[in-house]
Amino acid sequence: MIAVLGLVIGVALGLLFEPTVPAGLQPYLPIAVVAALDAVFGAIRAYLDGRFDDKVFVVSFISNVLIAALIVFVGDQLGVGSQLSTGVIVVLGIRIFSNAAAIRRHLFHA
Amino acid sequence: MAGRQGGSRTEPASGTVPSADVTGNSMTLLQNITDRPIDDDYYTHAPHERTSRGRVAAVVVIALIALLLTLAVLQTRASRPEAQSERAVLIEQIDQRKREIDIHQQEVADLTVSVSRLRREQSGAEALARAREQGAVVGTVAVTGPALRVVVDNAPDADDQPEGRVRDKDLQLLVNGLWQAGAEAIAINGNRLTAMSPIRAAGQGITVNYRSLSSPYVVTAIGSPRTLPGNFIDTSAAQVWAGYEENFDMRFDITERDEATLPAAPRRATTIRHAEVLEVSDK
Repeated sequence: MIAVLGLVIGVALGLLFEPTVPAGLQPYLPIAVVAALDAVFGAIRAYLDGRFDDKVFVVSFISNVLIAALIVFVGDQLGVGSQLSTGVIVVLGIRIFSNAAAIRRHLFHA
Repeated sequence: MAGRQGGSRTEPASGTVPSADVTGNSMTLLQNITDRPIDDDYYTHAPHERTSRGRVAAVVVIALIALLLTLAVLQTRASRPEAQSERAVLIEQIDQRKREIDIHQQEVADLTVSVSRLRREQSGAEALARAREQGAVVGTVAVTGPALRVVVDNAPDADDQPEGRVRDKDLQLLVNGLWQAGAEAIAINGNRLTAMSPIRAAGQGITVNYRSLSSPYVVTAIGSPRTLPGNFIDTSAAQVWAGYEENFDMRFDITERDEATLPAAPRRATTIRHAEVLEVSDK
């Protein structure tokens, strides 16, 4: 219920105001999206496990996004930004798939 | 694996480290990722009390995530029309350049036309100058210049002695001699000789340009004052005439004139009715 509410609010905000991402932050947008997805899948899995925690969810999301952005930022400064963002996406992608697998096992018992 | 040590979910990961270390740290890292895909935080502590503040925070974070996703989607979609508009701008530029090319080609065509027109006009002016020059040669325009004047006449006793009469052939010989000596224009008794002028006998008299002449015959030839008299004296025509003078007492006087004016030949002497110009070359 909460999740659906938040989803609707976020999409509505984005569609209504169409805020433009500053040019300096644009490279971090895809990374932030992947990090956010990772947090979401982790939260879903924890929720299915009955261990969901609001605080952990909030903190994990913020820290994930910040660290992912930080890594890409450092990579940009070192001239290996694209490689590091690839690495971040790979790691987060693996986590997303693992979490998704756990969720699948929970839902379908398979 | 998780149940091997019977501890919390974090324990198995650290428990597998020694055995995984054999294959190297990178493998450990990957194994860590696959073994502990989830934020450990959910499992290290018992869940907090569910508070309304926590719910609000969760809603805010979810809204933030949704906002991020929406933004990413919007941005990706926004960059697509950008490419399209760029494409449209390029097409517009191509069209504009094509129009410019058309305009320039039209200009080129116009200029080509005017160039050929100017060339025609220019060649017309040249043709006019050339016509004037050739008119002097042919005899259709009056000319003036240093001249050699040859006066010939019948012998005084020409009535008794037919050999003492000036015949058309004698005048033809004289004129030929003058041409040969380098004369540029010749008139006989004021009748300008053209390329079509016959010198022929008509009964007792001689006609030039179909006009009867009366003796004495004054042949005026314009030419170089340095070379014409000397050259003429050397011609066989002059020698023949000197013979006439000596043998038949015919008049043969040569005088040099600083300036003489020869009139243009009459129109009837220069009218061409059947000959057609084949081709006018610009050279």
